[in-house]
Amino acid sequence: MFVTTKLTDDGVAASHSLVVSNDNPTAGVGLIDFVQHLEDYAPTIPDSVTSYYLSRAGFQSNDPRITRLISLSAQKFISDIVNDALQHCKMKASGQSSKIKGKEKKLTLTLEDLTPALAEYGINVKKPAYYV
Amino acid sequence: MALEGDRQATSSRRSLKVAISALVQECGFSVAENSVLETLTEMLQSLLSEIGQTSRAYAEHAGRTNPMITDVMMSLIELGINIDGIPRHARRVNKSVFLPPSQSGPSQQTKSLQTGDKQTHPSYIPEHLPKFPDPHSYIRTQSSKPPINDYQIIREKAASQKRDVERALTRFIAKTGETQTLFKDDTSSFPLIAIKSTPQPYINALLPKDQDLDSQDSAESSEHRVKRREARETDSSIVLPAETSDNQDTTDNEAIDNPYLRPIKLPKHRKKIKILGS
Repeated sequence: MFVTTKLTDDGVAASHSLVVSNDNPTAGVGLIDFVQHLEDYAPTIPDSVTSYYLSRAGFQSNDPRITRLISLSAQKFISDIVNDALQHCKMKASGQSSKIKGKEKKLTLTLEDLTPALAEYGINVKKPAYYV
Repeated sequence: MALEGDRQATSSRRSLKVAISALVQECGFSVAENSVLETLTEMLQSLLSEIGQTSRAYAEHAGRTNPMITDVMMSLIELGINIDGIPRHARRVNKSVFLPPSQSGPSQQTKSLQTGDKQTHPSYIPEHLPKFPDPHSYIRTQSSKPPINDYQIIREKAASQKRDVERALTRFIAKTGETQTLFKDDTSSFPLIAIKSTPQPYINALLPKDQDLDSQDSAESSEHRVKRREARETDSSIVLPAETSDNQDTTDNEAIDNPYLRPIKLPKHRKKIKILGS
């Protein structure tokens, strides 16, 4: 809940900064400054892969910085979800790991951990009823 | 074209999965379920498409064809992604980058096989019309040659065939039967068919060979034949001259249609001859 409210605030602020110039220099301006430094940046998702999906959506841009910004934001989205899943996993582990402490080091990302993390973002994932 | 698109889709999806695996590892996990990775891949795929669509919609709404950074920002905000954290995410410590999949070269277009020279347009066809196709596609050619009727060639062919047959037969007999060598010390080269020595070599020349006895004497009564054979056997076991005459007799009897041959009369006193011969 907290995340979503914060996000809407940002959205309002950014749209304001676009409509009313330099009135509220918050997130948008900082990001535009940041994008100028993306010239020599290599995101984890390759540019070619991102631009392939963008072109499938009808989006065509000659500026690699825009592609990289999209890659980064998508990356961050995934990264945040996985981080939440990690917190879930650790919480679950701390609840029961009093017996087994040797195996604590190896963390496994399972669907049981991912499902509550995704639910926070409003994405409902169910374990398929069939074997994969 | 569709195949190529599929290939690109699968390769893109695979590299997305690799990227997600890297991100998951960065966060501190060492193992991940395959279903989790697939779920995240699917999400990332749809997120990228969604960002692209929304950005394009914003750009078009503003009357532009090329989206700007602000359009992307607006779409990110609309999709509920916290744009504040992006610079921090970009400057994270354990950033992992892997080599992007290299572009595969365009598949080579195989040249269509051209046979023969294309015909040029006749004067009454304007130049802008398409060229003639390969001549084999419209010119009629007979698949089989006409048979050769030249007398000389046929004779030569027949002669060579006969020679071949004879040579093959000779070789076969030389291989299966007895051979003699042309040179004493060299046994393998020039094998000759060994001569079969018979006690009376002249007999072959005397016996008429041309007629097929079995097919001709079918008209004769079997009884008569049996009788004669018995007689012949008794004769041949005893006297050779008598046998030859007997043989001639039988053949002459059968070849009665020859006007220049007359059946030989059997000698009346066989016993006497027998005694004489022995």
